[in-house]
Amino acid sequence: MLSLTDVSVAYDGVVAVHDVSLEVPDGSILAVLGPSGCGKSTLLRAVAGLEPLTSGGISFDGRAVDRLPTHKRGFALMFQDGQLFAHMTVARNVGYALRLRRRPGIQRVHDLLSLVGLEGYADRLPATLSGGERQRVALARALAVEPRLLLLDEPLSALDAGLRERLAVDLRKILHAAGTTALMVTHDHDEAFQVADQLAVMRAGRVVQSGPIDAVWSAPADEETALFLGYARVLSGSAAATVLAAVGSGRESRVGPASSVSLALRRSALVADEHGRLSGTVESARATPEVLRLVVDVRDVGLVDAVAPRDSHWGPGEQVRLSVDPARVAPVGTNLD
Amino acid sequence: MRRWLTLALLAAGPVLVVAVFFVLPVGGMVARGFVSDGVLDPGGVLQVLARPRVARVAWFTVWSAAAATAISVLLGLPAAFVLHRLALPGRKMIRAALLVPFVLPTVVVGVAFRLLLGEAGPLGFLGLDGTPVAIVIGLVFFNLAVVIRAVGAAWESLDARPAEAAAALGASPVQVWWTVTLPALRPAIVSAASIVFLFCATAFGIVLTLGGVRYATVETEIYLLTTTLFDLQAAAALSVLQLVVVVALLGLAARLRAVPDATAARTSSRPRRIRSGDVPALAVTVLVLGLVAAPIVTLVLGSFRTEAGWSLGNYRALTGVGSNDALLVPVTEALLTSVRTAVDATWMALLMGLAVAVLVTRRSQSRSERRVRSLLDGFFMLPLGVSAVTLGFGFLITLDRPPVDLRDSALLVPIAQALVALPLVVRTLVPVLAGIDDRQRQAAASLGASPWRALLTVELPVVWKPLLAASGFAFAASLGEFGATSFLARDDNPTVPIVIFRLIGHPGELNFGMALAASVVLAGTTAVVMLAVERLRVPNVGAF
Repeated sequence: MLSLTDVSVAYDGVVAVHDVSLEVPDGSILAVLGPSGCGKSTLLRAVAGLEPLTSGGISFDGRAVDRLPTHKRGFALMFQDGQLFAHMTVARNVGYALRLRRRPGIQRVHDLLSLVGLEGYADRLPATLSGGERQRVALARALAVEPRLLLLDEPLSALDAGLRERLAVDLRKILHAAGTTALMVTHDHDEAFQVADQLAVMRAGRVVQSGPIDAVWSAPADEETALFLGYARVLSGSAAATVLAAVGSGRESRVGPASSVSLALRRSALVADEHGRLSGTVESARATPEVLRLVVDVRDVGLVDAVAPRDSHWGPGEQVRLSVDPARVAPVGTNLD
Repeated sequence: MRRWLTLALLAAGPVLVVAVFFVLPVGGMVARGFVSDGVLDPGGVLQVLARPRVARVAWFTVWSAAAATAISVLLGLPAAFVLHRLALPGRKMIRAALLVPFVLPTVVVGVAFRLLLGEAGPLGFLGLDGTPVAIVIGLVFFNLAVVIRAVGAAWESLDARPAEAAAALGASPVQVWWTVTLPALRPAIVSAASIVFLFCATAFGIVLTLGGVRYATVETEIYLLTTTLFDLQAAAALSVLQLVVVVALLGLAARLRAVPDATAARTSSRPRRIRSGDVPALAVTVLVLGLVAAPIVTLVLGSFRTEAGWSLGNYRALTGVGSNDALLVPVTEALLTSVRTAVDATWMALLMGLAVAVLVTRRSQSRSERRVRSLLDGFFMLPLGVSAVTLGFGFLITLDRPPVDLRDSALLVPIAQALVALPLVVRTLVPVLAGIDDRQRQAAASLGASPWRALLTVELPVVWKPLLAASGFAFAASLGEFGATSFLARDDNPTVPIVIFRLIGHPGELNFGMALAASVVLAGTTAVVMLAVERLRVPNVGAF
């Protein structure tokens, strides 16, 4: 298990990582999610031993590692763009760490290449590979000596959207198959959800929320976190209460003291529904391949996003009734402890 | 059609100049070797090459150059690392200072080393004066800067992440160096080493002042054969030999340089803090600084020492002609001649270099156009392949009769110096011009800018600094040029390096003191020019 205790890192006096404490249990994958410049990459480099800590400690299985040089930590780091050694073939790249340890590895290299779906690529040079293939090789190289911890720096963000989705699924499958403990940083919440089990949200050098991925997802700590997790709007006060009142089926409406809570809405949280409890005026409508996206001015709430079936027709100025999909709203700030 | 016309117009001037002042002299020199008494006589060349002394000279040239290259690389690598990768206080100053030896006039360096290693010098107890070791050390002194600059620039822009990736995979610092860093640096190291070898093998002034008659390289042997023994056929034969070897070496260097270094993703990484593991590299850097500083300090101190103790006497004597009439003109007049010549050489080199650089970097529209441009590119690099001595010798034997009779022209020396400086100018400008995205010009044109206007908008802002740097570099190179000038300068109108050489050849303490003082003045001037150039921060100056 990797434990970070009050880790701080500063560059030239500027604090990039501030008192971060995290744990990654054996065999699980923790994603550190945050906007660019939030210090997540610095945190990863500190764990790898590439940046010295200003204060705090890093330990693995109870043993402090923060004084060890990078190559003695037994971790492996996979860079955003792979960082394959361009002068070595794919097989030599993958076998690099094995050769460092003087372990025979031809069979292991071939096993790894087939694990990442690149049989027959052994003698290719990195320059002849596509971006996705390069990342697969980088992954195989990082897994070669079964590192006790795999560090992933935005492993998929250099790839285009379709490839990213496919590789994310593969990545999760491969990591779980190998039983690898992994720490990954990313700015893309989709990537985090597709790969990780645990999530830590980082902002301005601090971890603002962490926990199992579903827990974080269903109860963001604050408005900014909610927006970063992909929620479209955050309502508060009476607007939140009105939407909350419309949640669910029957008469039991009246939300008591909890009406002070804020509510995060995904873009598809409100659905056009003639039996819906909310009503408003359509401001604009835009067709997408799957649904019709509306912006609706809802009475007592204000402007919100809503969706309607692809084949319905809505135009600006029309009155619409909306119902709330409870799975697509989340209370904000209730989880603060 | 208009493209071809522009191309032809742009090419005509430089092509003509290089043809008359390079191809003609070198061709004449080659012909002199193969033709004796009006008959083709290739056997004569072979006979010369079979002389035992020639074999000895050739062998000495090769091994001294190889030794100096190896030492330069071994000392230069750690220093390049320290000065370009570590957060060492004052490293920019040190880097600028290390550039000075490279442009110091070779004669000055020779004088400095004789002073340092001579019997009365601070290192006289080593007994190195007049030995081949002294020559090798002198060559190292010159070329360390080349290694540090070329490799340092590559190292500085080397992406640190592959090394970090290797460390994260469990590679120790030594393993990272052998498996990742060295392969990435190899093109830069090989290219620097081949250029250094070339410089060492064609070194002239330093060998002549340190080696005398006993230890001659091919270069100094040509000089001796021409000026002292008047054996022109033998000199020509040696020149041909050198031409062949140097062109082959240059071709090899170009091929090695052309190795695509895909490893080197170019980024600029922050210098890192000094760690305890850096101590050996730091120690080597201190040694390098000592090696560079010792001769210069000795030279400066020596120039203030006269028979009457410490004084400015040697400097005051520069207005005279030395004891026993060592010179025909006062040193101060030679200094004026030097500056005037260097100014002329600079504008010539700049004008030609700019035309050549524009010519070879313009995008070609057809395959034949591309072929013409790359042919021209190779043509203008020719002067780099021929030693200054060969050039000066060629001038001497071909430009003294019609169609080109420049025997008495004041332009002869500047032209020779401009040709020597031309590759430096081209090498500085080409990467800059080639780096301009063609679409910038197209954008300017599409917004309504005429070609001239586009030139002002797009090229000028990028090019003026490198242009200034190139002129400084050409000026410094001309100021210290000795090889070609020693053949061409007339006795009553010498440049300072010639005067220095003459002064150390004449007996008398005053003469030697004056040589030191003149060396300090010349070195100071070039150093100031080079430091000004360094402040312009043009990346390619001094990179070959």
